[in-house]
Amino acid sequence: MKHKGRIARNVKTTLVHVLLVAFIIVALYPIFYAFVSSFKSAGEILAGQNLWPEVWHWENYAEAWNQANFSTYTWNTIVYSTATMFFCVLMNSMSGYVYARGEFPGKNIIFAVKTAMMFVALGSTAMYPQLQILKALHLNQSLVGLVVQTIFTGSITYIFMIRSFVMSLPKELDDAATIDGCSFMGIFFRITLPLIRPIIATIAVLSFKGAWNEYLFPMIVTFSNENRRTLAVGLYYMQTSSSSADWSKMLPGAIISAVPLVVIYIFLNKYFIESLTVGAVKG
Amino acid sequence: MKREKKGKRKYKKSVVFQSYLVLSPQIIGFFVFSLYPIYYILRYSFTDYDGLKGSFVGLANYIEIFTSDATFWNSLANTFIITGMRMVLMIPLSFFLAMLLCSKSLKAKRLFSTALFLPSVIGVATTAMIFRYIFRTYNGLINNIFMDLGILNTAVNWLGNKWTALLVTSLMATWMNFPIYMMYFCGAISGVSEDLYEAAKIDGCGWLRSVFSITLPLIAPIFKVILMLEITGAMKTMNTTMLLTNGGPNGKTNVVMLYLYNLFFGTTSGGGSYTSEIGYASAGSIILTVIIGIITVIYLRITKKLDELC
Amino acid sequence: MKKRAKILSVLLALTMVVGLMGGCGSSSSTSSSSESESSSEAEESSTETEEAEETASDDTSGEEDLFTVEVWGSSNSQGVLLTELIDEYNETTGKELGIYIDFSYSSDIKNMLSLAQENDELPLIVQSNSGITYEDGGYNIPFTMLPGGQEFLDEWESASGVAYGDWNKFAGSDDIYKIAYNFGGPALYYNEEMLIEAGFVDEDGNAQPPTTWSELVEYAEALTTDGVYGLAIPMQWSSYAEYDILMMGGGTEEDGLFTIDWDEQTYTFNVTGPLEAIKEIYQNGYCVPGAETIDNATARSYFAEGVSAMFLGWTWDIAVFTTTYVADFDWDLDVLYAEDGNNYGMLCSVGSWYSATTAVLDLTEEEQEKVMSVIEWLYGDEVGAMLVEAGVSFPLNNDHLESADSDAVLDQTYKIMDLLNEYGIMDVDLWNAWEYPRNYVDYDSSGAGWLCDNILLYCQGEMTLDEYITAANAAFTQGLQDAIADGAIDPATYQ
Repeated sequence: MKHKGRIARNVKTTLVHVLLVAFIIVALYPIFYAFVSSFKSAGEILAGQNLWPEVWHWENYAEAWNQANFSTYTWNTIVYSTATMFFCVLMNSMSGYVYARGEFPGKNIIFAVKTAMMFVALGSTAMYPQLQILKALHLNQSLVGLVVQTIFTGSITYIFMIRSFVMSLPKELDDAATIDGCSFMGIFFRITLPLIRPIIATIAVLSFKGAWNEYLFPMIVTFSNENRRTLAVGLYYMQTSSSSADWSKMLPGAIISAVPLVVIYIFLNKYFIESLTVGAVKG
Repeated sequence: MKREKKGKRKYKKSVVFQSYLVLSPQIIGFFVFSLYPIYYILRYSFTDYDGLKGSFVGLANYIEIFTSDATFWNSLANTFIITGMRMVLMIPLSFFLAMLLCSKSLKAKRLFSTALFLPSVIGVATTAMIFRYIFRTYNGLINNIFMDLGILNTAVNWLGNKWTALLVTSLMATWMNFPIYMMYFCGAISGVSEDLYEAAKIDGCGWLRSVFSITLPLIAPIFKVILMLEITGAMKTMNTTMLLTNGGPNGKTNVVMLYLYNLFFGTTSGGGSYTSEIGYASAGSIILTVIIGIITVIYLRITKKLDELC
Repeated sequence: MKKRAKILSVLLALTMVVGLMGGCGSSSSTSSSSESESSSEAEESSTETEEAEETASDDTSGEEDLFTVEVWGSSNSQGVLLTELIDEYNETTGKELGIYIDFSYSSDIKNMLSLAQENDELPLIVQSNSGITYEDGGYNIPFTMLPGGQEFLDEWESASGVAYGDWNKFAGSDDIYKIAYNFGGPALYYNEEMLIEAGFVDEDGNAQPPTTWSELVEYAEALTTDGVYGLAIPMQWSSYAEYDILMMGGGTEEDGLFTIDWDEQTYTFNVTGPLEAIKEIYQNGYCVPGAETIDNATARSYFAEGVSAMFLGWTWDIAVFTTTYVADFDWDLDVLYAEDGNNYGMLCSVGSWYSATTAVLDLTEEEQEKVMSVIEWLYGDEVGAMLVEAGVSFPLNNDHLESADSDAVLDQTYKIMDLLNEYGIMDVDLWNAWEYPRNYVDYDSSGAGWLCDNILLYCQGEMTLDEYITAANAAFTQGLQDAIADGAIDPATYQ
């Protein structure tokens, strides 16, 4: 009996592993293929039949970096993503704490309204009015405006996460701190913040990734000015300025756009993934 | 002892002050960036504003959209098709993968989940580039593979025909988003207690049967939410279409959001003028929002009914 | 520990803010010098430099008093060539005049301009091929609004020998918005080596191209072997449908390419030859597979890489095959004729022209003069000669041709010039009769339009030839009537 069970279990384990590995190969092969192709010459990409390039054209990357100005784009994207991450974390963690622990009139109403708005969102069509707002504030020609728009239209789930996490923390520490003379926000900075560090890290990573990969609004605000473009927008621009068939420039560009974030992801993948399993979705 | 009015809380002044202080940026930002646009769009939907000048035209925009704008309804149909395709592809795939990933017999779960999560880390721009590259007609990876395997005789023009282009768009969206849904399911599945499965096994339940009878019903609440997120999210997506086909061959794979975006900003995606018609586009946005709202309500009603049935 | 974290976070915030403000500036110093935006040469307007971020561009030019003129071009091959010339200009003439040209190019320039206009960031000079008057909300302004504009227009008119007409204006305006910069026409490119190998030679052993459309089909069939195809058809490029097929279809001896009944205001196309030829080539697989998706760029690269032996293109592809998609083999070009052996005149396409945008209106008089001088330079002999030598354009302005170094001009260019002299440029009136209604036909001329769509249907057998001609006639008739109604074209001039 036991013997049969163990074989069955082993079969099952192997099957699970095999299926997963097979799927991973299929799913990730396009990335690998594109990466390898980025070293081919234009003619080889067009008509060549082999996976591996005949000659490894490392200069494709140098050309994309210099000619197509990717150094500027990368810097802009780093600045934009880091600023967004910082302000997102700051604002959302403080707000989440206030919603969890604060007692003030109208708290539930405000929170309910914000939650409801999640469903009535206009989506990308609201970008036009948002651009008008930025124009009125004279922020439409700088990355500052972009950051402002991103943090205020960011995901509301961050607040949810912080709020539910803080609500699960014991109140005794807060009370002790209050007795010691700590102010309301003082409790946040001194006590709560260190405790919610994993969530903060998750939010930081997610907002960074969101800003890095953001395409639509950066397109509107930065497309027209080369010094301001972010990577995603620069990639799109490159599609139209080199010819539409010049893969040997576009593929390196695409890889360059993705590599920094992938590197960060490999080191910090815990935070990317855990975000989804930590109380983000309420049943 | 202060006598408190019934039902009235006593708030600490300092807490209230600090709370409002902290919340104010976000609330102001919310008003400015989320509520004002709604007002703006509502207001301009009754005009024929084109960026320079406009005048009140009442319901003319709405009427025009309903009566003579084929593009709007075609692109709405495309949106529905893509949403449907995405759902059909993504949900079973994510569920199945979650079952595999979160099953007890998996070793090195972290390694697998890292690898599986990679597609959603690469941004839309790069993904679109990769997909356009591998779905090329001449010497593209997919065509080469299919032709080598004998499934195809001639190269298929993936991005040049409406239905295959819609399929590729859905595939790309699935590829980018399945890790997220997979992890949602994983979290949900992990919440189902092992005892239930063991009990089922003792009763002689096969693996498939236990999935349908135990797992699915128990994760139903989360499943509902995931499905709704997917549907509303898919209806509002436009960056996949914009980057992959930009409206497709001559506007055939246009989706509503992209159509409205083009009208707002005076850009075009293969067909259409380069002037912006903000009043008209605003009316379109309102109509679209209402449609999505109706769909959400219908969905909630249906799921409620299903709940009652079970 | 917490205090340190607090200090760190504050420092981080400060660096962020500084980075945001200065980041745009510091990065522009590295990029401005190597900028190659597709715009023609235009220098950054100083009104835009009022924003803190934009002051960086002043730093990039190095000198405080260099005025940046931002130019956006719309042609890739021209852009590549112009970049070098502009770098030279910036080093020499620019410094003397106090001008820095900031040039970049993109083929998606219309969308870029729409977004730029929304964001109040228009370049000063732009290269476009259509537009709306600025009174109607467009970004183009007529030449006369610039200081010295009228003198420039007069000079150009006499140098080009072509009087200004409707085709230089936008609908509904009497001002000159566009200047015929260059011309070109459809041409068939062929790979000489492949033709010789397949046996298509003349007495001297040189490759002999097909001369009529039915010969084209024969050639395509013979050349399709072994991974190489006869023809690359860019079905996503509406110009091939308009010009290669409808316009250069050969027509009939009496009626030419098309006839217009000005009283009834109707259009009748007289083309069947090329349509049938294309259909045969498509259905029999003599063209590169995937023709439905490829645009002009891909088709050109197929020819340059030797995937297709022939290519239906435009005369300015001469420059393309020497700069962008370099063809390593012997190649030449020729025109296709009607079955009766006639060619009904090379087209004169106005091409894309450089003009100033509404952003210029905010500048001071002195700055506007600088913009004008850049425009004059763009239309001047130096640039013109370069474009002729590279085979990009066949100039209307004879001075350009004379300035060119005759050794540097390609053989293929001379061949076209000879053809031009033999057949003459298409009649301007005839050109107008085509161009204006064409602009009113309900499709977008820079992308795939219903013409391509319907050619595809016809090639796939879902539409008969008669149906296609009827549809084309109907669309162009409607376009003609719309153009007349809009005042863009006056039937009285043609009757």
